[in-house]
Amino acid sequence: MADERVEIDPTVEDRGGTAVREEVRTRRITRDYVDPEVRAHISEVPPEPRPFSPEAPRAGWESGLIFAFFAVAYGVIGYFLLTDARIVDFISLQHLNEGYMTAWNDPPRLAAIGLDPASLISVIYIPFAIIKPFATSLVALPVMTAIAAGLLMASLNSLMRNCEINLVFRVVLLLLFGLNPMFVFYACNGDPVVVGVFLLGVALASLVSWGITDQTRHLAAAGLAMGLAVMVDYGYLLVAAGFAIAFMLISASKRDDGLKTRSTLLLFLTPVVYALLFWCLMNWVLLGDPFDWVTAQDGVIQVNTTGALQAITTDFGDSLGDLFDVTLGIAPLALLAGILAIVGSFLKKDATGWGLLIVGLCIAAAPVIRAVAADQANLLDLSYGISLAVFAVAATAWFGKDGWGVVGAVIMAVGLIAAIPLSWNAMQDYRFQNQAEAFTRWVDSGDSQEGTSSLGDYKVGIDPELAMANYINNEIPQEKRSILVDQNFSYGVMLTSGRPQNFYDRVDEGEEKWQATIDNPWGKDGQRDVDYLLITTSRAGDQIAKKWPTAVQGGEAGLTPVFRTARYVLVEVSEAAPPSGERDQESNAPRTTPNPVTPTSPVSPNGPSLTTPSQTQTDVTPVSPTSPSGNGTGTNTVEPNNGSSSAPTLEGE
Amino acid sequence: MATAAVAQKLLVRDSTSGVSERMVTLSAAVAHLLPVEICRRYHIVPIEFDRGLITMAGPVSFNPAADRAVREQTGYETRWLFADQTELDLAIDRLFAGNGRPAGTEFSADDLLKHGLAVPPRLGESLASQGLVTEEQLAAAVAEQNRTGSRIGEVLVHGGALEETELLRVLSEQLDMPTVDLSDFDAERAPRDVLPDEMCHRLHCVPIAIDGESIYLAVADRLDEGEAEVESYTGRKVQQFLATSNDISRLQRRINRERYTETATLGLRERFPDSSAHQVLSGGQKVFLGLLLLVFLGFLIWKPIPTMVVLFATLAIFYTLTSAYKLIAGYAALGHRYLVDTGPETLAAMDERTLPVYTVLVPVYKEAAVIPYLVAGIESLDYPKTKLDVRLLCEEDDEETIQAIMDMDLPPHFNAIVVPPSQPQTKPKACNFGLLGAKGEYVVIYDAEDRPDPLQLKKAVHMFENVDDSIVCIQAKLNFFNQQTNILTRWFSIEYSMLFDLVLPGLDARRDPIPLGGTSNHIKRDELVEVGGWDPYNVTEDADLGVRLHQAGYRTTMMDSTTYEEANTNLPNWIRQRSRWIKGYLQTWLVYMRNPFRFLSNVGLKGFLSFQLLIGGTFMFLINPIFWFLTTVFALTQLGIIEDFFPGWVYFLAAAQLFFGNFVFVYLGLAASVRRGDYSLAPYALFLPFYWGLMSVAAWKGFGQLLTNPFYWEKTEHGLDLGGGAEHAHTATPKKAGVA
Repeated sequence: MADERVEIDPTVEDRGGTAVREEVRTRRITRDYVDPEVRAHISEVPPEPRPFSPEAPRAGWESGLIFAFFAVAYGVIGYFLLTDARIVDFISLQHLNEGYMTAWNDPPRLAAIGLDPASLISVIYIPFAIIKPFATSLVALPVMTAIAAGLLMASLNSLMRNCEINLVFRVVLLLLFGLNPMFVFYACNGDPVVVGVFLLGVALASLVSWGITDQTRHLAAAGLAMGLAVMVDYGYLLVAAGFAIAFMLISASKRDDGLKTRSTLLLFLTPVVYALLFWCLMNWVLLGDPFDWVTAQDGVIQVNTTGALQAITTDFGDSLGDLFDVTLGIAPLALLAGILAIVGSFLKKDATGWGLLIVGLCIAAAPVIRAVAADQANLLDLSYGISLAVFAVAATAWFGKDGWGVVGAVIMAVGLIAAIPLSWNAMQDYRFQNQAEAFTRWVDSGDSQEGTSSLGDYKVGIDPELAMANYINNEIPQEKRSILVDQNFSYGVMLTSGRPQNFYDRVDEGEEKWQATIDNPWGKDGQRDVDYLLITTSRAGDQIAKKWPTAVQGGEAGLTPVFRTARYVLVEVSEAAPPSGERDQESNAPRTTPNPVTPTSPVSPNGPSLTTPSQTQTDVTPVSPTSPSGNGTGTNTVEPNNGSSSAPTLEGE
Repeated sequence: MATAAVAQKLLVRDSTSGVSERMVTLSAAVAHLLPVEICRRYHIVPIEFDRGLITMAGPVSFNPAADRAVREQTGYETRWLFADQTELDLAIDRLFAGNGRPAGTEFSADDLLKHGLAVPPRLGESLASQGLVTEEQLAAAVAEQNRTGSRIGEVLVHGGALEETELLRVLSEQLDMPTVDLSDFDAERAPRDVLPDEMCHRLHCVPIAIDGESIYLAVADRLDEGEAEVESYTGRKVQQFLATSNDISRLQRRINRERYTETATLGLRERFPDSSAHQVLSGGQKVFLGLLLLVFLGFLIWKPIPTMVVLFATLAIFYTLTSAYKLIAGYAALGHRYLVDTGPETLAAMDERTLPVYTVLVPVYKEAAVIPYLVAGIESLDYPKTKLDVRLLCEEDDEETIQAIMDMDLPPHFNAIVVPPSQPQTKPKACNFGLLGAKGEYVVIYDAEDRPDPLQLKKAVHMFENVDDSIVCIQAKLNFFNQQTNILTRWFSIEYSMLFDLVLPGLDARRDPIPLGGTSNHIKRDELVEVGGWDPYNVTEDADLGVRLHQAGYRTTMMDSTTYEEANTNLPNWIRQRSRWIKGYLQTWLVYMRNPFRFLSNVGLKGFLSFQLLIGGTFMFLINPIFWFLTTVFALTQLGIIEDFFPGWVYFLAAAQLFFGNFVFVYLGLAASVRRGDYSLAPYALFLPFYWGLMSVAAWKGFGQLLTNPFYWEKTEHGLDLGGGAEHAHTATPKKAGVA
């Protein structure tokens, strides 16, 4: 360390400083080094946004247990509904087929999802279809709705918890709701209704939670749920409008300013509007008309019913009557819930009750408007009662909030208990339904319902599809795109065969080429386009049947029926096209030449099996030619093709 | 006159938890305000008296009975400090027995004031008696002193009521110490390496001269134990000269200029070379990427269609996972609650005497116009000024900004630090430089134009005190005060709401690594130093630091507090800023992917995947235009080859991303705006896809720059939109961005 001289004198201050002291005495005001103008500007910075509002109680484990319990329970029941009762919902069958085609067609095509209503269900089925046997055995159907029903139960539990109904009451009420036979049936049969109802439940629970907590996530959840619900059933558009009004009312009652109310609506409605715009875009791109989905009213064509009920017309009064029957039958609590919402709104001075009431009215109005608009009475289906039941639970639970939990729970319990026998009766009596009656018979007797009839002109069972799929898989060469089908009709066979690549449909090369092949299945260059035509005979409208109306009877030159079931006929296309004159002459004349064949019994004479043709080599022996009305699998009579449009009106939605 | 004070010290703490210890000088005169019996009974001793407030030292826990006894006996309000009981008993023995006065001798308060025996407050009296402060200022300062536990002189100086030099002179009189003016002191004349840096910082002193017998120190306060320590270390007698605190710091920096610069620039690179972005690609990465490119080209020639299918499938999968991850994080955030409540009641209950010194680093470059706003923003912070260590980090070539700071004649908690020129000339290097000698227990960075939530520092302290020790960093939310200027600022605001109100809180909820935002990250200083500070070569040093902290086993959490910044209003300026961010993210990704297996073992699989999807997800901005191009071409031409690139599932993924992924992001933006209460922004969220287009432009610019000029710091111009104060801004708005 080097020594240095200290030279600090010049900088050492003296301690006097009298002059300095005098100087500072003249300015005794605290120096402000911040420009006042700048300070004022800084204060214009927006304040910290509102902090988190009180959180509604959450219990993930509780919701998880409730979901698991109900999902497993409905899954098990659904399995037996499929294998034992043999009750299959053909709406879900088509959606599952679309999901399966999306996954396994060769090449896979997104267009297989289709543009019919409830296309979201087809998308939901895609993951279920990844494991082939899961889809082709149809087990995916009850599993999907069991999961949706379990989720609905968890949502209702959250709703009731937020409304201060205690755990014991909640469990009892959920069990009562879950025991309603109509709900049990729909929770097990793969039908899209339960998915829509689950989304409705989420939206209702979110509405109530938002009213309590003002948390954005509830608003977003409601919007997303309704956006998805619209893609399950366009009827939810009206319900979404009801929700929008409800949110607006609640926002206004909170004295939110106009900007916040508008943003609230925007957040809620964006998913719904996006769903609509997306659908319009798809319709525009694929069909050339953005509003085709509005005008066409295309629905799933259920080939296990004649659709005779579609002919029943209705008016506003009749539809209201039907709505009353449905409400009283499935959701009697809804009648009381409306009153509770009004009373509660007055007593609590809470706009949530008015909001719920409006949503409830929209839920009720949607099927009425649909039925009246289409002048078709059967559109007021019994399944709408489930939506009303969910509304009833939400409104009654909300009524129980703020210390009235016991009162609300008791009222709800009474309503739900009453609903059980009433639902049972409605399922046996109400005419516009989808095999609910068969379900009650199965519960009563435990017998298979295969081949029986059910209210709504349904023929219960899946054997015709299985038999045809068996034949296709085992008796004819397995070639890609060798069987021409109208997949809107023959979806059951396509799915149960497990080999969508063997079928040539609209999805493969587009509507235009497909239609060209229907017109000339023999092809232009001497090599036939397809080897077979699969024609559905139980319902009118199959495009192939329209083109070749007598083919199923062997009345078309170059088209030979080779196998027939109660709902389908497989027609072989000759190697060479017959002369055009011959085709013209014979086109409408039934052939008398015997044609093969239909099995003496469907797939499993000794009882139903979950195993489908796609998994086994079932031996099918041709026995004798049969007439078109021959009963391979049942008693169905092949409905003569009346040449009407292939676009049947909406049914069973 | 009873002046026989016992020269005795007592170590006292502001609270029983032992935070903020200090040594006080005991006075017999003050001690005798209370009878010895009471002192002995309760083990307490009066240590200060001023204007009806008696400051007591007591044992480790507050004793209400003792408090009542003191109040009743003296009739004064009490304030309690705490000390070891043994030390207290010893002090009582000495004060009441060994001072030549019989025990029980009493002094009245009037006597004390009259004779100036209340030692600590005497400074205030001196200042008032000399007319340096008014009675009102003194009263206000005493009130603040009682509230914050700060020294009266500091309170007056930091509050702007008193010049630091005036205080120094009065202190000099009181302590009988000479002063030294270091403002023009020639650093070359200061002795080097006579004391360790650490000791100089701890004792807050700087050697100004040395000779055979003595070492001459400039000190901010009289050294007590420190004097013996220095004497022991140097073997020389210590001669102390009072100087202002900032002058001492400034001289320290001038003396150590080269060493500090080297540490700021090369510290991380030398300590943790694998974590430094001083090279874009490591040797291994060059080989790997080269081989990968060759293999790809080979396959492209050999099997072009399958190769492209694999490429697009990989991109589609990665894209989908990235989107899903952000959605999951965003959803988690919607139900997320911050770890600690920092509501107004909680903060109001905080004892300001326990608050630690807080270092605020503010790098400024060519931002003279913003300085008044910066000062106003800092001054609006609800934190004792005496406990602020605000460091305005200027570059030496930025004379205009330096002059603007000097012109404002700021109080001593503002410290203008001039960073010597060296490469790379980046913000993180300036921050490292500012960190050297920082006094705060915690450090926060603000940008010059920032307007932080006034309660933010208190919130951070409260959180640090109430969370797990593994949490060493707290990120505040960022948003913009000029949201409504144009469509760009609105989109930018929505993006920030989505990032800071949804995605980052979501990462916090999932305990995933959080890439820090540019400012308002509050960090424990010691841990920051431990991990090597900021990487001066990384142009998003904040994100890099967040990952590095996580890798070191520390956690970052989010705070319910917002700092408002200035959103870019000008598109080219915005693109410059954004291209730097994206380049920095790519840099950060490459740094941690030098040894992916080691990184995986350090952060675990969850952290690793999060890093890939969030930081690695930046690549998506590069890929977007390719997908958009292919979609457009296919829609217009139905080109078969494009269809071949997207068979089956690849097509499904891409379509899902197009139709639903985009919607999800738009909706998250909308939800984030509503969640924040920025309702007027909500409609603009619907048009966010156009904003993503701009992001891709910036991404490609940043990517190109990563290859050609990796350390170039695209300076963002600030002060373009200061609203009501725009005239201030436009007078001296820099015309050219900074250069590396």
